[in-house]
Amino acid sequence: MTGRTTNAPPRKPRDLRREMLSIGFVYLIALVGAVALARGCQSDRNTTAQSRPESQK
Amino acid sequence: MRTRGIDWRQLRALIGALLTVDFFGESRHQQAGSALAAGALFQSGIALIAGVLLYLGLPPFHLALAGLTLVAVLTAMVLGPEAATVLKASNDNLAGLPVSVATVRTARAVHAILYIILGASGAAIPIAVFVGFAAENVMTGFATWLAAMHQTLFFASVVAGIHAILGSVKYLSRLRTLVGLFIGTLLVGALLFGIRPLPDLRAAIDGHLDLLSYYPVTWFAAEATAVSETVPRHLLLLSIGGSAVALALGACAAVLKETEAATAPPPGPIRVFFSKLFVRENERATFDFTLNILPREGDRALRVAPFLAFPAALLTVGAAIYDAKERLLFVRILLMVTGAYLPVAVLLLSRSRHAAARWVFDCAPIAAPKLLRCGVYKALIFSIVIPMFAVLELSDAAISGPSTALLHAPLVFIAMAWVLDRSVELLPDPFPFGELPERLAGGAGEGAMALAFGLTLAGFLDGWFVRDITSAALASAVAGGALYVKRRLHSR
Repeated sequence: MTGRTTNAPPRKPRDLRREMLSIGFVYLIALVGAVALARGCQSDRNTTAQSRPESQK
Repeated sequence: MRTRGIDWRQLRALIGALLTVDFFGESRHQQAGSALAAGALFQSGIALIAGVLLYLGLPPFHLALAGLTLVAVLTAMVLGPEAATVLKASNDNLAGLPVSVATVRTARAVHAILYIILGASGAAIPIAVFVGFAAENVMTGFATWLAAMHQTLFFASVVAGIHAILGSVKYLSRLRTLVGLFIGTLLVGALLFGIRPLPDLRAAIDGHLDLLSYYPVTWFAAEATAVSETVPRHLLLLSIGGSAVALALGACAAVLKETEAATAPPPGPIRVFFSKLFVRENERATFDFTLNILPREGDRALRVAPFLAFPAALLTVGAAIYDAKERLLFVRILLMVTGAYLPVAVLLLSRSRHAAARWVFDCAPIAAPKLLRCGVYKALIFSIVIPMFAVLELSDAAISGPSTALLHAPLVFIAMAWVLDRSVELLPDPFPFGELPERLAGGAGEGAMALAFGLTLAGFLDGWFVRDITSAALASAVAGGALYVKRRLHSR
């Protein structure tokens, strides 16, 4: 006798290591995404800086 | 038997256990994703979009200041009160383990640091990358990430410390909501203040640098960019001094115990008056129970306050932005939309650290859930709606003038009462404080869009239709009458 009264299969407890990996993956995407965006927008940033009035530089 | 020193295997097991609770709470066996991973995804998405906009036009220090403000707001939204509670003294469930005190303390400290890194990095990483690129220095980027962690620890320690101090003094614990509200308003207000002059944000920051040195995020922005820029030295000193004070406050949180008064203070004259006038005899038990427990729920104060900070900050900044004509409609809509936060407050009401006390209701002779709901409804009207309404109306009187505020006041109150009525009706379980906070199931978001839309429409109609005392009386009579009829029909 196991004492279980339903037919539902026992659920596996979630794995902390897997969850840490998934959050690490999110950070990696954020890092890579930010680097890509920053590189892509570098020329726009320089253009904005050049077009700014002299008083604000 | 307890041993001296640190046992590394036990330390690893303890940290693993604490992190498992962070990630999964009590839902380890459920299929839902962990709140921390979902939060990190949300934070990094927002930080990427906002960061690239700021990156286009700002030099490193200014970018770090704006970016770190965003990090503080996003972290507060995702971590909420947990960032403060991880620092609190709650070793009760570890006290019986055969583990040395040093191991438990080290585990808690390492866990607090890991928790802050996990909870704040989602927003901090993109901002750090943009600051690093702006300064053209990798070390500045890394320093920005470190400053973001330092800042999160600072705010968590300050909030936890102030809460612990207020919580340890008998009658001051009621002020805890105000602390959360103040910090939330400060951060969201700063964010909105920055959005307003976005094209000239650099000039706006330079122009207000003296004022900004009172704003803690400025200290951490200086710390972040000190590697590659020349920053005012007093800001760096403030960051060191501020951190020392924050850590001292955090230490208070780890030492002080909450007072739990055995008897509730006697009800004040306003509560007695309200209770005599509006609360029926058979609803009074739930009414009094709810009002006596509410101020003792420190967690609830921490959870609700950040939500209320948004409208408070919007009102403060909105008052300065718009010209008189635009402002009138803006304030009308905002006053109405504030009511959309009520369902969250109501949902959190059913959660409590002391949920085991629900046996009081389980064996009480009150059989009808309707009566319970009515008692809870009236207690919430008294403890949440009336104070919130008073603050909103006072702000409205300061922004639009007392006569305009008075003209629109009844409709704002009726709208709040409508929302509250519906939220209490939708509560799956009418017992107040009957569930543990970890069991916070979904449901707060259901119908939120419809509610926000309905309230915006109501605010728009209020601003457009209510012009004089006749129209105000007519609109209030119709809305109030409809609510009265609905409640009568429901209570049958």
